[in-house]
Amino acid sequence: MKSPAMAMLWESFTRQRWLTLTISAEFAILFVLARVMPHEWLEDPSVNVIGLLFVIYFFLGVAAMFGVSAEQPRTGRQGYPERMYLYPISTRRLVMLPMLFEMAAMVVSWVVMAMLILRPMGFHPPVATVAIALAAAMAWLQAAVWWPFRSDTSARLVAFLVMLPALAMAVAWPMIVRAGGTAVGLAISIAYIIAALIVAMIGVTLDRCGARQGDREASRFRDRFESLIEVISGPQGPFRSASRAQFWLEWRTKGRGVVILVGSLAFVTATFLAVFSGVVGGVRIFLLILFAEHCFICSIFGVIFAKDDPSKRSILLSPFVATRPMTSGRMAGLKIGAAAASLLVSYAVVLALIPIWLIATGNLSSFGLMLKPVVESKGVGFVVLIAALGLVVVLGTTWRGMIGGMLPVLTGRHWVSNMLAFALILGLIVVLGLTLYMTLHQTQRMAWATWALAAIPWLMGGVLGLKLIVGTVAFRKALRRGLISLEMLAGSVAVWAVFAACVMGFMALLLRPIEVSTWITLAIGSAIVPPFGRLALAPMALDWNRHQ
Amino acid sequence: MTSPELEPTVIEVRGVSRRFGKQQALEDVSLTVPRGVVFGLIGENGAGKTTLIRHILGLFRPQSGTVRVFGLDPTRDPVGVFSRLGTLSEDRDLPGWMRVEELIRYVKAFYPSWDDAYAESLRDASELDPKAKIRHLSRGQQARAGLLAALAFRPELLVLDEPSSGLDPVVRRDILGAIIRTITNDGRTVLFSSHLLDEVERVSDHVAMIDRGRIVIDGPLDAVKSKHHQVNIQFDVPRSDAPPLDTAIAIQGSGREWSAICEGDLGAISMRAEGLGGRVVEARGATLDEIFVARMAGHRRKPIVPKEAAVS
Repeated sequence: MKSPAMAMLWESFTRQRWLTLTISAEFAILFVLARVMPHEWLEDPSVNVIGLLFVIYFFLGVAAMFGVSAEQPRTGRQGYPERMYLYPISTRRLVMLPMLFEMAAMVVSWVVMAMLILRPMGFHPPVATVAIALAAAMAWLQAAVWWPFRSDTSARLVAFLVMLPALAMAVAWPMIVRAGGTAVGLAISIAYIIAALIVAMIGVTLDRCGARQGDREASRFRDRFESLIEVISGPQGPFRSASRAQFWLEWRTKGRGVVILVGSLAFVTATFLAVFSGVVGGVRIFLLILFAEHCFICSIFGVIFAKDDPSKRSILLSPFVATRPMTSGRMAGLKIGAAAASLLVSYAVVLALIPIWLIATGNLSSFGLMLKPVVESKGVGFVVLIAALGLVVVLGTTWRGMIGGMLPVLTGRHWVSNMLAFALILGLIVVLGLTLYMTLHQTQRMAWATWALAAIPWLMGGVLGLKLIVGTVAFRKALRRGLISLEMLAGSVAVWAVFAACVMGFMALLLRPIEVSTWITLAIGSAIVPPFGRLALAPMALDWNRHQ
Repeated sequence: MTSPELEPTVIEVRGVSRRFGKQQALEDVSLTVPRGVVFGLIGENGAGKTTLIRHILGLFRPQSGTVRVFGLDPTRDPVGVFSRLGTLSEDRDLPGWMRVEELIRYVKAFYPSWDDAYAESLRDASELDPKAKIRHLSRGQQARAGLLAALAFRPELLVLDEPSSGLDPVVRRDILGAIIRTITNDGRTVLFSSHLLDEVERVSDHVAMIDRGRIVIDGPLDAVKSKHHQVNIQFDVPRSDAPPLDTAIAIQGSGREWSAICEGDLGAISMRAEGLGGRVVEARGATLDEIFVARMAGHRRKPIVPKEAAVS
């Protein structure tokens, strides 16, 4: 590296290789969609809202990629990475270089997004003002993260006095731009950037001088929060079995976090979607996005159940856990069980949010009206039954996704997860390519569709066969090696059978009346959806990790 | 079937080899740990101590050879092995978010033989606050908490990987003196690795020295020490190069005065020195430290600090 600036920039990319890849993939998808998606789709408000969420996630990804923050090992508090204070460069450069990179990244991302994605879609948002405003927001976010919240009251007061007007202005900014014009918006944003730089400089200077007293304070706050939870949950007696103790460990390290994350995101999304509550189909959009978000977040975060400590990069089973007298099958089963528990609890949180949102936005009657024609035409029993089966299918499919995410990480080998991620990205590119090809070759579309429809039963049959072979071989091996017991095998098969029956029932109710020939395809499809091979492979994968 | 308690051997490693890429971490390692001893595993940093211990714990699967603990393969029967084995790793990888009382509650669930009174006495002796979070404990306190978790179910075998790493002398003495003696007084077995030779010499009955993945010394400590001698040899005629003393592991000196660490019978060493025109003027049993340094110094390839850097 020729300069500290280059070294810092290199670190941003290297540290976040996967995030870089993810947001690049997201950008590629948006880029292709902007060109292939029919314009009439954009008239549907749900497409707009989903698109907006996509754009927000993209910018959150950029912020996470370029944001500089590190966990302090002793306390777990985020802040300016202490190791960087040892670099032989001035505090001014320590602050300025990352800040400039972050702001430049935001500006470039927005310009590229506006020119290459939003304009082809027919949107013409302001480029310069939003770019500078995003840079200002990023600068403030970073300044806030770096501020070493000191425990004495005066410093808290200063932080409060600085941060509160900043937040107020961030909320008021769009109205100011609307009233005062672009020039006023730009001037405010630039003033904001300068203020953020000053706040960051003061914060990092204080931190570098050893003013970090807030760590203990933050930690104490977290401890108090946990103590409160302990008081609520009552006195904790001894565990009745090793399995219960291990489940508790999985829940405390991962499950609880997933519930808090999903709950928080659902709350933010619900607040955001309250803006659209008045539009036609607002309730439908809200429900669709809330459930989709829950499935998506749980599927993504299922992967953390494979790790001992989600905050660490290591995917190896720690010796502390690996040396407990418990079979690898039981350990894997408890991880899968904890994932299911977090899914159910977070789903309960999401469900609880729905009536609150409906009442708060005055949409309770709209929801009733939405259901009324279905109830009247199909009957209450049908609606309740299909809703119950649908719930099982949605939750089961999400759970399946969670286990699928866990499997490569459970092996404890980065090359396995990297290879699978690569295969997934490759698959995505192939699908996108095919979509693009078919869009450009309209005449062949029908022929392709006919061929694809004819091939579906065969493809499904092949997938089911492969699934059964892999599952049977893996279960047999796991049984022979004593990784699982016969009871665990019976339990896994029962889960598969019940889930398959629910999928079958749900699809049959949804598609009825069904032709006889469709029943076979439906049965094969229902047998494919539930996890079988995954349940069989999980103990093997964990055992491979445990005994490297 | 023989009862496991009657088996004289607790750990048996036979011809274990392990390679990480191009690096040979263990090469044809064989080791036997008898029941009821304190077994010290010594070696330089990177010699292969942790790799060997990880094989014994079943955390690594041997690429060749076999490992048996209580006659069981730890990779095939982890429950059978770990229900009788307590361990503390060099990394002290205890979950930092747990409170001490939570750690005790969690670990206790795995062991029917957990002794509450003993656990409480260990906690009390270590002055561990039950409400304290592991991550807020000092390194020494974390080691004590880890030991509590490893000891309170009274395991037949205790495996400690560098238990003294990064600890002050007081904690080291606590751990090695009190804990290891407690274990051995019960007729239990301890295997621990260290590069702090004085502590190994102080508490071990048996030692094995590992060097670049190979066991170079293995046996009861007294036998190892009695086999090695530190001798001073005086020659009548000054020598320009080191005398070719075939029993010497390491030799240094100049002119007429040479000192060596030799392996073998002292009489034979004296005779060999006389054959070379010298005589043994002083001889004593070598310390473990001297034996270790002699073994390691024999094949140090490069100085740690390059000459140019050292000069500047």
